[in-house]
Amino acid sequence: MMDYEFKIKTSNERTKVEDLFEFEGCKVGRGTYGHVYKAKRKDSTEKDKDNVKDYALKQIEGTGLSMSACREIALLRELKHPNVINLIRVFLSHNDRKVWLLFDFAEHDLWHIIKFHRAAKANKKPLMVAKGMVKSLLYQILDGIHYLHSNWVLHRDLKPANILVMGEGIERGRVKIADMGFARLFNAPLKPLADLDPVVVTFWYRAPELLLGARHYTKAIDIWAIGCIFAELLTSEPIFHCRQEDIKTSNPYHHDQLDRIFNVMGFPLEKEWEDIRKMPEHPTLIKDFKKSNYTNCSLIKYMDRHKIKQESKAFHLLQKLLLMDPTRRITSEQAMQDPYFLEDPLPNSDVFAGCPIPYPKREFLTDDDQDDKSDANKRQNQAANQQQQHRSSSLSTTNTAGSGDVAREPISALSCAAPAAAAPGPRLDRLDAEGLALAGLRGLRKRAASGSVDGWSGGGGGATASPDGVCQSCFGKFHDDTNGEEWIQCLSCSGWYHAKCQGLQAYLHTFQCLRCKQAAG
Amino acid sequence: MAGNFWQSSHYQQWLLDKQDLVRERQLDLQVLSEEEYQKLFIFFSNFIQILGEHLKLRQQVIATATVYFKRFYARNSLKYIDPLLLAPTCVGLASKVEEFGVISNSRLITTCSTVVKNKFSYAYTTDFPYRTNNILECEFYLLENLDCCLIVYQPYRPLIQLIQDIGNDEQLFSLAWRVVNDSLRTDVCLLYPPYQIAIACLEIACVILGKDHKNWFAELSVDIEKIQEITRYIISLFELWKTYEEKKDIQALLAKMPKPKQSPSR
Repeated sequence: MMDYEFKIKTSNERTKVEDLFEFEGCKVGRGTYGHVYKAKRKDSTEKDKDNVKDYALKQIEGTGLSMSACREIALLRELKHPNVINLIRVFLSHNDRKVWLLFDFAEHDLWHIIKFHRAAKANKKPLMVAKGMVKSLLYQILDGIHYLHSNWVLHRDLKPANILVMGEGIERGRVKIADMGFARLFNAPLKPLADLDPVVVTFWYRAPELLLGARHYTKAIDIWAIGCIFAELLTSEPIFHCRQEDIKTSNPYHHDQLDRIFNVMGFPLEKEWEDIRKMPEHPTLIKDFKKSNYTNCSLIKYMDRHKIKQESKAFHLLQKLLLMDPTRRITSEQAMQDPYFLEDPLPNSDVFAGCPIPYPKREFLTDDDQDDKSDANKRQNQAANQQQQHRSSSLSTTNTAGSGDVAREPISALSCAAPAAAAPGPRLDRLDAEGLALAGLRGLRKRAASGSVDGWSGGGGGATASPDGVCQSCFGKFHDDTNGEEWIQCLSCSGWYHAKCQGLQAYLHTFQCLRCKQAAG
Repeated sequence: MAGNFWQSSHYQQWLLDKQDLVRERQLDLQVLSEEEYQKLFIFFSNFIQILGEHLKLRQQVIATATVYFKRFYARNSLKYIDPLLLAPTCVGLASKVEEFGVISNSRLITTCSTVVKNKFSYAYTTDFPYRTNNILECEFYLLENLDCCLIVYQPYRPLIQLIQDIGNDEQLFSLAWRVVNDSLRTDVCLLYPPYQIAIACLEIACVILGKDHKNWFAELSVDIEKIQEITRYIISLFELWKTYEEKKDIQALLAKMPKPKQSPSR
C-alpha cells in the first residue's frame, strides 16, 4: 500500500521528459532496444536554437523495468569514461510505465561511416579523410573497452553500429561505445529472432570460440570484435561477412560463419590453438570441415587483396587482435601500447583531426502514425545535410589524405542524394541494422523469390537467370542452386546481389543500386 | 565494477552521515522509539533474508535487496510505502540487477504468500495482500528514490580477500561471513564503506573465537576509529538480541508503525 500524499508529492516534484525536451517527429533509431530520438531542451531560447546542444533520448522497448533495462541503468549509472556513452539522466514515466534514458547525442556511427566509404569506393569518387582517422578510431575504441574491461564489464555485442562518433561540438570526433549487450546472455527472446532487428543476430563479429560453443563471454571475445571492426575500417568491407539465413539462437554453432572465417584466416592448426579440441562443438567442426579446403587462405593474402601490406604496423596489430586462440589474443591494454600507435600519424582525440566531416547527419525516421509531421522534419534535415555535404566537398580538395590507412577513397554524393528519390515508407539506410532492417526478414524471401519487384528481378534456387560476377554489396561469390541461395538483379545496370545482402532493401522499395545509383521503386 | 568503489555512486552518494539519518527519521521517531524503529528493521531484514532464501537467491543479492530497502527508508517515512510491499520489490529489483535470472512477478508473489503464511504467521494473521501491479508500481518509486543507483558494494568480497591474507581459516571465515549478514540489521551499510565493515566483522569474529590476530590488524592501514564505531553498532545489535523476543513483540510494533493513507486526509 502506498500513501496518497506521498504519491501526490512525488508526482508534483517529478520532471516529465516531454516537459523538458522537444523530440516529436525526431526519431533517429529503432531497434530491439527501443526508439531513439534526437532531442533539444525546451527551455533553450529561440535565439540560440541553432547552437543549442542535442541530446539522444532513448525510450526503452516495452514497459517497466526489464532485466536488460535494469542492467543498462545500473551499469551506465556507474561508468564514466570519455569513450563510453554517458547516461545523463533517467526519466520514469509512471502513467504509461515507460523508461527513458538521456544521453549526449552522437551524430555519427561506424556503420554509417563505413557505409559511406563503401558507397564512395563503388562510385569511384575520391573521399578525403583525416590523416590517421582509422588509427584514432581504433585507439579510442580500445581505450573505452579497456575501461570497461578493467571494471569487469564486458560489452558482448561490439559491432560498427554500436561505435558512435560525436559530430560538431566540444567533443567533436570522439568515439563513444554504446549499447553494451547488457542482457543478451540472459534474456530468452520472447519473439522468434527473425521477427526482431537483425542487428541482434549478426554473427560477423562473433569470435570463433563462441561459434564453437564457448559458454562464457570473455574479454577476448570483445577483442575479436574490435579486430573485425579494425579490418572493416581498413578495407570498408566486413571481413567475415556471411549470409545470415539459418540463424538459430539456441545453437551457437554456425557453419557458414566459421567457413567464412576459415576462408579468410585459414583453418586453425592445432599448434596455433591447442584448446580447440576442448570446445563443445569441436566434433562437429571435425565432421563438417576439411582443412585442405583452406590451404590457400591467410589473413596476409586477404588484407593484401585490400591493399594492406603485411609489413605495415596496422597489419601486425590486426593479426594480434584476430588470433584464433582466445588465450593468445592481445588484451586491450597491450593493444594500446602497440607500435602502430607510436608511428606517425599519432592518434588524435578528434578522429577527424579538425578536417571537415564528410558524413551525412542522421536523418529522421518516419513513423506510420506521424507521417505528416516527420515528413516536414525530414525535408528540413535533408536540406541541412545537403548544405553540409556541399561544404565538405568543396573543402575536401584542400585536405590531404593520409598516406596510410584510408587513403584516397572515392567520395560520393549518394547518401545525400538518396532521399530525393525515396518513396514514403521506412528507409533502410537510416536503420542501424547491419544491412538489413527490422521491417521483416520474412517478407524478403517471398518478394525476392517471386520475380520482379519494382525494378528488381528476383531469382535463385533454380531460376533460369543465374548471376554472374560477384555480389555488388558483399563482393562475395554466388553459390549454385543446391545452396538454395536467392539473388536479385538491378534491372538498370544488371548488377547482381545476394538477396540476403540487398533483397530487403528492394522489398522496402527505396533501395538504390550500389553500382549504378539507380533507385528502385 | 570491482576496482572502482571510489568512483561509485555508492561512495559518492550513499555513504550518509549519522546526522542525516536522525533528521530523515524524525517523522517516524515521533511515533516510534529508536529501539522500536530498529526492531522493525530487524524484522524486515529477516523477512527479506527468508524470502531470498526461499527464492534460492545468493547472499549477495539478498544483501543488495536489504540495502535498497534501507536506502529507501533512509530518505522516506515508513508511512509512505508499506514495508511489506517494498521488501519483495527490493528483492525483485536486486535479482534483476545482479544477473541471477529474472524472478517472475507471479513467483515473487506466490513465494511471499507462502513465506508470510509459514514463517511469519506470528506477525501477520492475514494473507499477503499484494499483487503484481502493486509490485510494478512500487518498483518505479523505489528506483526513483534510489536515484537509479543500483550497484551496491558489499563487504563479502573484501572479506574474502582479508581472509586469504590472514591465512585461510575456514572457521573464522564462516563466522565473519555471518557477522556481515548480521550487520545488515544495523545502519552500518548506510554509513561506512564495505571494506571497513568487513574488517570490523572479521575483528568481531576473531574476538568471539578467541583468535589473536592483533599484529595483523595493527598492520592494516585503516581508520581504527571507524572500525570501532562499526563494531559498536554490531555489538549493540547482539546486546539487543539477548533480551528481545520478536515473536512476542512484533504484532504490537507493526500495529504502532506509521501507515499509508490511501485517500486524501482531512
